[in-house]
Amino acid sequence: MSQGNGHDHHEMSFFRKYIWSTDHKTIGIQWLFTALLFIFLGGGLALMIRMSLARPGSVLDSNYYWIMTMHGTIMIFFVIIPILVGAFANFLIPLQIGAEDMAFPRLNALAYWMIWPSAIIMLASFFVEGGAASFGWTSYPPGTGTEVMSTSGMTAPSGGSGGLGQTLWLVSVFFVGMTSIVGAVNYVTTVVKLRAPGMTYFRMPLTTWSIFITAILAVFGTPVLASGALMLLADRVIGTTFFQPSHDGNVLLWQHLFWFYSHPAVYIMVLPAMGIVSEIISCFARKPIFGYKPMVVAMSGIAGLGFIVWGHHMFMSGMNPVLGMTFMISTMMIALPSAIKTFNWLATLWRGNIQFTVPMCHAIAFVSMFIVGGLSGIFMAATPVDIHIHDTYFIVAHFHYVVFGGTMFAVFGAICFWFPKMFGRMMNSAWGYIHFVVSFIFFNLTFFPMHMLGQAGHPRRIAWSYDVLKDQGYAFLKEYQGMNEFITICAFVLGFAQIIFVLNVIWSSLKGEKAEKNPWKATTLEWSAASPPPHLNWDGKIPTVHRGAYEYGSPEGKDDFIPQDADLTKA
Amino acid sequence: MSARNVTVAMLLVLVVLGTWSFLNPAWELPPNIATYGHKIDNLYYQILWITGIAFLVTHLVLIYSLLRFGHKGEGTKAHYSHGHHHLETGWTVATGLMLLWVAVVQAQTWNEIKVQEPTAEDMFEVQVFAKQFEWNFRYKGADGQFGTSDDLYSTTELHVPKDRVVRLYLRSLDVLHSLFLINLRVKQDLVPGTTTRVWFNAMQTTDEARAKYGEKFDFEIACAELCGIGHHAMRGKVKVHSKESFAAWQKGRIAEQEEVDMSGVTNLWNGKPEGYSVSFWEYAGTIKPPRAEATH
Ligand SMILES: [Cu+2]
Ligand SMILES: [Cu+2]
Repeated sequence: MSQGNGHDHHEMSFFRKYIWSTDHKTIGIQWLFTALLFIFLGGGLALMIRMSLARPGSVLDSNYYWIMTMHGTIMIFFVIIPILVGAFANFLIPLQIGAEDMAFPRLNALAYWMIWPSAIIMLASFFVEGGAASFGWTSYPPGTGTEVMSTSGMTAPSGGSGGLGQTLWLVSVFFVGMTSIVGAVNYVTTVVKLRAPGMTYFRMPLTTWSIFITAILAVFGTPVLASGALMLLADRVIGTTFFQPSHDGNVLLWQHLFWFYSHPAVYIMVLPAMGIVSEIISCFARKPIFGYKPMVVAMSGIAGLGFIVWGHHMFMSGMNPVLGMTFMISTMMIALPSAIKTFNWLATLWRGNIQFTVPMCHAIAFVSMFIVGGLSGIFMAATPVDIHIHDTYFIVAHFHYVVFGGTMFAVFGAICFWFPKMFGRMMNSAWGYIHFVVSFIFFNLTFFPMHMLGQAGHPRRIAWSYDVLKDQGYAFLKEYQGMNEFITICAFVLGFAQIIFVLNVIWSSLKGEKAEKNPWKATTLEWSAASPPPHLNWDGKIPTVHRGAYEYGSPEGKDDFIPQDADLTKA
Repeated sequence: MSARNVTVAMLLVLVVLGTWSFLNPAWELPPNIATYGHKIDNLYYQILWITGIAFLVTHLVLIYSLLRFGHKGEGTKAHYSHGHHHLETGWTVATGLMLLWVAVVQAQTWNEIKVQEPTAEDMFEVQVFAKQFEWNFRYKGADGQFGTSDDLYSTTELHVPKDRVVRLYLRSLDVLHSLFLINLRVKQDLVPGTTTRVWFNAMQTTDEARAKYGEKFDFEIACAELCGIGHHAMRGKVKVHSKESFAAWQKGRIAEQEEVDMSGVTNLWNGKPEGYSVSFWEYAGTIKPPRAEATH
């Protein structure tokens, strides 16, 4: 392994240390700030979506579809995945398994820097003729299948993705896919090869486990997305007809390829959050995680089953209904490991000694919101019920409960939790609580009513449903226009509350109270390194691991926690 | 105002509001007029009950734990346990069986609606022809065949008789669309290159519904698959007729069609559309357009 190569202890230039760094901690923080930057773009687009729905008739109507497409694309590819599998995977894997750095530090830097060409291409697509891609983050052909159709006398689908924007979108997504694969290969190798002495697989913290499993998902799933993107790109620019019905191409093939990746991608967006939450809950319940092995098995089960459920996105697509039935059964089954994990979190809290720190509040919110999001998923999995709620606001509510209510709250929790390790300073907790309370309340006020909209049949992805002033639109949604306006107001409060968080991050990283090595009295290895850890993490003294990851409240210890590397025989 | 109390209070409000909103009779599924619709609705409410109870129970356990097991100060320890094998097996098996049961119940209804289609002799058949941002419908004329000169056409409004099995053949000329008949519990994508189909049997006429829900009420059609810039405007209506009023509509439509020149419309449906080099009706049938015609 290349560990330590080129890592001599001479003073590095600013450029080497902070910009072109191969240190996994710096790269992790780079990913974090990149994602925090994009969250404002993605969030701003979300507010524009809400304005369009609340007040039909504005200039937003005709721009709605690219705004909606870019909101989804940016949030998924440039915010959620980068934070979870960029920032936290990078920062935590070596620290939690007792390694000095990643297995391939330069590849790791490459993976980060490859996100920029991809991001720049995506951002550039906002300014090209015809505008950015506008057929949703799913980019279903044939709406996206041909570039500038008018040249052949065929009218481009108006406002469809006929222009350069969609082509750039595909190129960008292809690069994001490459980033994912490169990163994932590195994570898997690091976990397999670089664990500290005594760190067996079943002593690894669940965060590392979750990222390990996620990386395996990414390695198997992403190439399918990347090849799908290449095929669609070829359709657009060199005239192949993979997805062109006019030449025997198969429209549904894209949906199969896309969801074969994108369903697992949903888990890429939630598994690491589950790992993080397990970590935080165990630490602040001061109690070992309940059912450590079932947790690992459940995550592996989710990953395995995750590859045979993609058809649940296609129940109404014209796919053979018998196939729909099998996908329903596999989808119902994938709810099981998620339920097991939830029960284990609750059981961890039971008879705990719970400390309500800011990260803990976020972790509790995750559990609550994940329960709502998980349960609402059962409605969509049930094929007959899905006939009514498919592609309505019900699904919008569902996945925002999972990805925002779930993953984003876990991310907030994770940032607060590992902030002292990342920056050597504590995050201001008063502002932390304020941000938490406002976010939790307004998140629910924004997304819970969407279940009702979906139940009423409000289609998703429409620029507006009922224009009260002009008295036109879907008449059955007229009475829900007030609810749409209410949601918009709440979304704005939710959006602006995030400024509190970012200001808190920036202020605390500069001015926060200095943090000690192990401010939370936690057990895992990263807390045995200095805050922040030096280059190579432990100054050459790799810790030896003596026990599992969550020895809280053990009768053996003097305190209510025994770090993984504490050697009790010597004490 | 400790962090614990605030968190618990917020969770309590969530539980109360959540339960209230799901039990609130004002928020129910839109009116259903399809023969099989009540089955879908019952399954929906069934899952609502199951998930509602799961939501309540898990949240009450969560709230109780947060209240009961708060930190007892420096030097205290939590109960030391790594898990419980029987408990783990117990909830796994129980949840697994519950999910399996839901799946089996659902599968039966799905099978009934989507796999086993009705084979009624006097089925009323309509061809649905979607293009960006318009729903078009073609009905058989007196000769009982599609594609002949006595075919009837309508745009935006789908006219069907009550109490008769209606089968729709769905085709798209350009991109994906999805036919969403809210009150008939129908949703089906239209996939360029293939014909998809759905069926329903309406139990209520538009007039009957208007007597119930008001003068302006209509069974609406929505497009549920993003299809371009006018997607939100791709609306339509299903007009369900009694026998007499359906005959009257047919008669009126025949007279209207005689007055206007229908050749443009028929050409469109018969595969000579203007503006599109890809002719849907050609590739949907047996004849393929020549390659050169449709290259970019
Ligand atoms: Cu999925
Ligand atoms: Cu449409």
